[in-house]
Amino acid sequence: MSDLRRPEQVAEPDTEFAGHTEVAEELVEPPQADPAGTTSLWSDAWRELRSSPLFLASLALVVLFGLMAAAPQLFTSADPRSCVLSNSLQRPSAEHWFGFDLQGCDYYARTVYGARISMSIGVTVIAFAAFVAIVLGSIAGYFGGVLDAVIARITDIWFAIPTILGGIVILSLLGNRGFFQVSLVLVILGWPTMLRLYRSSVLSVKEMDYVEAARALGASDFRILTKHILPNAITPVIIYGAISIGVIISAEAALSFLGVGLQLPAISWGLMISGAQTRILQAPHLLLFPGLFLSLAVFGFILMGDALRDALDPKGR
Amino acid sequence: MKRVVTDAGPAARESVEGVDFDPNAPLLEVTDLHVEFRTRAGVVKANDGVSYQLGKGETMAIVGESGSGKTVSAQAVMGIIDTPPGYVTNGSARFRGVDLFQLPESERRGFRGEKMAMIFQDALSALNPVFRVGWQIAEMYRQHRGASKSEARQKSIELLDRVKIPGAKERFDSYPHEFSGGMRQRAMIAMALALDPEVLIADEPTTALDVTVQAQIMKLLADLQAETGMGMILITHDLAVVAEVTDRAAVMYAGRIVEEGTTRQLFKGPLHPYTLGLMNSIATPEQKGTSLIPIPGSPPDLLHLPTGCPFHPRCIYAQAVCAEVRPPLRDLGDHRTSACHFAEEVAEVGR
Repeated sequence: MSDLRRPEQVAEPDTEFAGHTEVAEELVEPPQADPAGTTSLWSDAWRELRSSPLFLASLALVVLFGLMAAAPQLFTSADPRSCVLSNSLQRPSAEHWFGFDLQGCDYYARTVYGARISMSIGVTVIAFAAFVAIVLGSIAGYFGGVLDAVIARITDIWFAIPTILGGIVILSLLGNRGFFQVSLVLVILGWPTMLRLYRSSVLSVKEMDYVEAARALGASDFRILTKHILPNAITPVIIYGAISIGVIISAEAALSFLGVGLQLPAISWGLMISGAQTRILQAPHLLLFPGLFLSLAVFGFILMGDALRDALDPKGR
Repeated sequence: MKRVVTDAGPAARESVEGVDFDPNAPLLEVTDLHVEFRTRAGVVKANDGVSYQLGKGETMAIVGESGSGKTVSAQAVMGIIDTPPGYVTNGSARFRGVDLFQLPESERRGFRGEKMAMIFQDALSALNPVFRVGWQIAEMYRQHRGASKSEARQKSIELLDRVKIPGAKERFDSYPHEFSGGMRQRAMIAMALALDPEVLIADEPTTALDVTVQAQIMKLLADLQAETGMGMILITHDLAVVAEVTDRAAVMYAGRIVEEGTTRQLFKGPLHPYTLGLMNSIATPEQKGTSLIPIPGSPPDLLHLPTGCPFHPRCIYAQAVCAEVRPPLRDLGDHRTSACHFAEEVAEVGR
């Protein structure tokens, strides 16, 4: 942002409760001819997000779990892999908040370390799925014709495979199931929705005058797709992606729970919940804590997706 | 064959690879252009044998109601018709002798922006909303000329200045929606002129603007044209604008040119009842107190064109022959053409 902002904009309150004053400001503000108060879709959205309690809550959750994934040492000094069998199944106590699991490992440490795999699978899967969706969606939506028909039909067929069921089928065929295999399967099963979303977005954006104008001024197809269509068409994918990270995290947990996802000795919430299922009455904390963390992480991403949707949809304002 | 360099201008002008221009050919010559749209409901002949010529430094108007095919003819020349549903089925568009329709798309793209540029009716939607205006102009230099970032910025600011955007330097970093309507159109013009095109097609450049701004934009376009010597095609339905800035005008109706001549000739004595009707529907101060004479009826459905002359159901001079025989575009001397069986009679009425 430039320094040449108009006085009333400089006076813009920076508090979380700026919402009301901003409405007033918009009324005073002429709709145009504002030399440097740069307002783009994203800066507008950011202004709205900054004052949205939903977004701030989701951001707090996402940052919390992100930090937990990146640097679990910040949250616990215990080693999740040093276990003393005599502590087996101890209930939560003042020193060990989450108690111990069957092997006598500190359950808090394990739950904290479990964030890493869930978060990285969620983010990796969505990043790759979005990449595939954007590349194929661009081709299908922009060039149309036979390419579109082929891609759309493949997507439709793919769409019919339920994620979890497909995951069970594919993963049960693989002997060795680690981070890579589980992510790959979830990417393979996860791209169709995003592709449909991006394709329809491309279809509407490519009709815009600025695309025609760009073509009239000599822009190549690649350039039109990357510079003109992508930035204007990607919003739905971003929103859906944020929500989907949560969905993918829970899908990974579900697959691990069902015994076709990650394998021990990996530390993951799904595996922990899976291990807890036979002792739910005897040691309910084994189910409770990873379940709670999983739910909060999923909740955080879904909430963030919702908040982004509200902020990025100009019609909602 | 040798490469011919006409009226050289900046060196960068000859940047279309492997294309030989004919020095004696007109700047732009469109011949017998047929464009059709294949829709579910049937084939729409949006351009049905359109021909015109544009010389260097000349301003030509293409006038007509919405749906008359004037924009389509420009899009066809630029090569930006969406296929499907649109197809150029016949005809040629020669730029200095080179038939654009015969070139592969990759070579054709070299003409767009460099040789021929186009500006649009609604400049707000013709500018990409997510990028700063200056950036969008600078990209023209960076992409087509390989200019460095700072060089491109410098040139863009000069250009913004040239299209008379006040405070060009500060405005460089604004987004399109922060511009007023007139400023956006100026920015769009700047972008179109970035590479010194020889032909500028302006598709209703002032329709979305209010009258005072319209006049400013038209003056700007006229000034820039005088400065650069480019040929300009002005697509419009605003006869006042036509009268003011154009040298020649072609009137289109239902996908065909029905009359062509110098602007002066057209205004002084139309040779086609449709042109006459258009002239009669202009309000002039002398007519104060009397009511305007509109053209009765509405433009024809291109899917179900009337037989004979497509204008006959609305024409007050129509005779039996008009419903049967489609009048060809006749040369009436003095560089004028008209597609009316009774052009001579209309001339009498017009006077």
